[in-house]
Amino acid sequence: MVVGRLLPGRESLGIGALQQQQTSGGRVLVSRRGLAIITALLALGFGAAIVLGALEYDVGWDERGPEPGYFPFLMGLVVIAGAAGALIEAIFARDQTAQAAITLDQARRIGLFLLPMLGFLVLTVALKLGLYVGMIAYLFTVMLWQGNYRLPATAAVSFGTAAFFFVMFEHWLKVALMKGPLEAWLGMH
Amino acid sequence: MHNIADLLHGFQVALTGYHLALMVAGVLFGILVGVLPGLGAPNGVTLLIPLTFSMDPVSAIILLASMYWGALFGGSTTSILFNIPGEPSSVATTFDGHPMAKQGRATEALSYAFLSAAFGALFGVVVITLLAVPAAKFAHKFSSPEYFAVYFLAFACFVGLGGASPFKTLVSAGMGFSLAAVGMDTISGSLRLTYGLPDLVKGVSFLVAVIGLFGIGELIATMEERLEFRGVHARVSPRDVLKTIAALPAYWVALIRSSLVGCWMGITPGGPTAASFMSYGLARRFSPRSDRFGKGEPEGVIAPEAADHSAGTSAMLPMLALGIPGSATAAVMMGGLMIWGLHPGPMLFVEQKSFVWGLIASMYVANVVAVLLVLFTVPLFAAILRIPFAIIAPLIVVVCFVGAWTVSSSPFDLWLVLAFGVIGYLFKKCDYPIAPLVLAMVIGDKAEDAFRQSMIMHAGSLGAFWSNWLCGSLMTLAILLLLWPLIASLFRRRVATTPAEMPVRE
Repeated sequence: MVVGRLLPGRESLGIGALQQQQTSGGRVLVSRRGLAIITALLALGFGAAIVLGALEYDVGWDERGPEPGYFPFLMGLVVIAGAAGALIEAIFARDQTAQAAITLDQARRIGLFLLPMLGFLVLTVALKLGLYVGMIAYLFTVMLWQGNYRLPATAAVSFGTAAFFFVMFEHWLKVALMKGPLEAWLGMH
Repeated sequence: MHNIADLLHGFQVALTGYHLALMVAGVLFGILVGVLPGLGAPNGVTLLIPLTFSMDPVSAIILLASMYWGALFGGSTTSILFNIPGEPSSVATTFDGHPMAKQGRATEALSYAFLSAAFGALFGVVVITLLAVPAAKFAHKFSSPEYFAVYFLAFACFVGLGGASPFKTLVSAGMGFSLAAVGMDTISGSLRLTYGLPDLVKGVSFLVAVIGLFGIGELIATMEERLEFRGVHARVSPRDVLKTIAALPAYWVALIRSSLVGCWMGITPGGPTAASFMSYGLARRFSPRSDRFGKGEPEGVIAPEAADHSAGTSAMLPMLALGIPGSATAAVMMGGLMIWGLHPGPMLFVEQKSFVWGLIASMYVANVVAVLLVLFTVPLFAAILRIPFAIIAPLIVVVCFVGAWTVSSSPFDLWLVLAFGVIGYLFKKCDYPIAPLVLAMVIGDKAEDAFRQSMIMHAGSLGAFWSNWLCGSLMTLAILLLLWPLIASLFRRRVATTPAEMPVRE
């Protein structure tokens, strides 16, 4: 509403120029069957990891019932069984072979969405700069680079959001969000 | 009638100025969350839970529940005006709601949706009021084996009645239980499934999982499509609303049938999404105007909406009485209850009378508040969707990560959110149901404890679960449901029928 009118950005509601391309008719990155197989294999891997993790403890029973490893071990087996079933279903499915699960365009859009998010986390967590710095950098990048907004609008939204969260969490709710060296240097606690 | 006295006491709790204000705030926040794609009811409740840690449990649950009702209403608004379901459970509303809006009957469609939703919700609350005490009395007889049997039954329901591939349901539930087992084991004290990572010692919080699965996962799925909000403008005039109220009783059959379907799906953990699809299917089959479905038939709006909301409200019954949530959102709320130090289950009705009846009474009030608010704020919330998605989406991302941080102030959780986001996206793409995973994460520890205690009580014999008629019949029913897909496929081979596919995702 109000914000929408104040910001003279692209009218396309997606992420910038790439969004302009057609969704339908794009080249297929992975078919429905392919994705179903990949997902089932990932689930299989997850199940195997649980089973291996559970084996760290006894997975059998003693006279008083199951040992600590028993339940996770069983659940790992349930995941493996389910994933194996889903894998067989995916391989033998007749109706979904040719259909596209993800087209190249879609993959690119997902990548463009995930990449800045990854950057957000790297700044915030890996470089320990804290959530405020991370969110400002993230919003700044996304709006300027992908949303094609002008600098004033971008700055207003990104710094405004950080200020809003700061007031709401640190002052009003008394919940401390993750802070880094910048806040310490500025003397904010 | 004890219920009436208890309910009146509940109204005394719910009808304070503070609680009414919480209801309004909750409903408004809920509508916002419901309107925005990528934020849904489970996610909204999850984001609020860390902020309720310091609140009184009654106030906290009133806030969360009101948010849930608001989210259900918000989801219908975008379905009708924009053809974009804000909630998975309002997908069925788009089938006839949006055609109506395009024909210039947006107000009519919205009024039908809201009013039948309110009817369904109140129907659900009346069912809760009547059944709560008997259900809790029944559950009073439960000890560990019975509890485990009921948990087992809940998951067997997902497999047998869920509609998704039984294998995928198994994967989802198994993953949930495995994730619930991560960290300190409550009985032996051993650190399980930590793979040497100190960050995993405290376990994987279901709140973090929900934020990733529903929030980020939903956003990735939304990003994939080129989102265009080509909305229909709507301003709800009181006269049109009154006209719809006058026309509504003609649809009494659809209203009652849909509400019954909703209650059934809400109490057994089918959830609102399955309920709305099933109800729409039934309405189309039995309506005299079935050829007009999909082209803007009011009954096609009434049926899914009434079922959606009655499922949403009645999902609270098994949560309160048995400690088994009937939907993903109810699961998150139950997790909240446990965080506030309450024990969902029959003892709640003895120890926390004000809490239970305050909540039930608030459900009557909040749903009325929600209808009024949603009718008046439709233009406002529809306008929010006109903000470019290139701004909304990153803001939702920031909200999700900030929300995940507030769960336990752990940087590691932020990575987990991203991981769960990818899992949620893959699950959505490949039709894996997410609700069993969330449910399993919330009740995982309780289910495992119940299992191990039953074993301790009965010297490690599985006969524990058939030691009395109640437990035995629950277990037998559960095993039948687990095997149901197998039995059904044998049947189907003989009688070739069209399978009623029903995506169960909440």
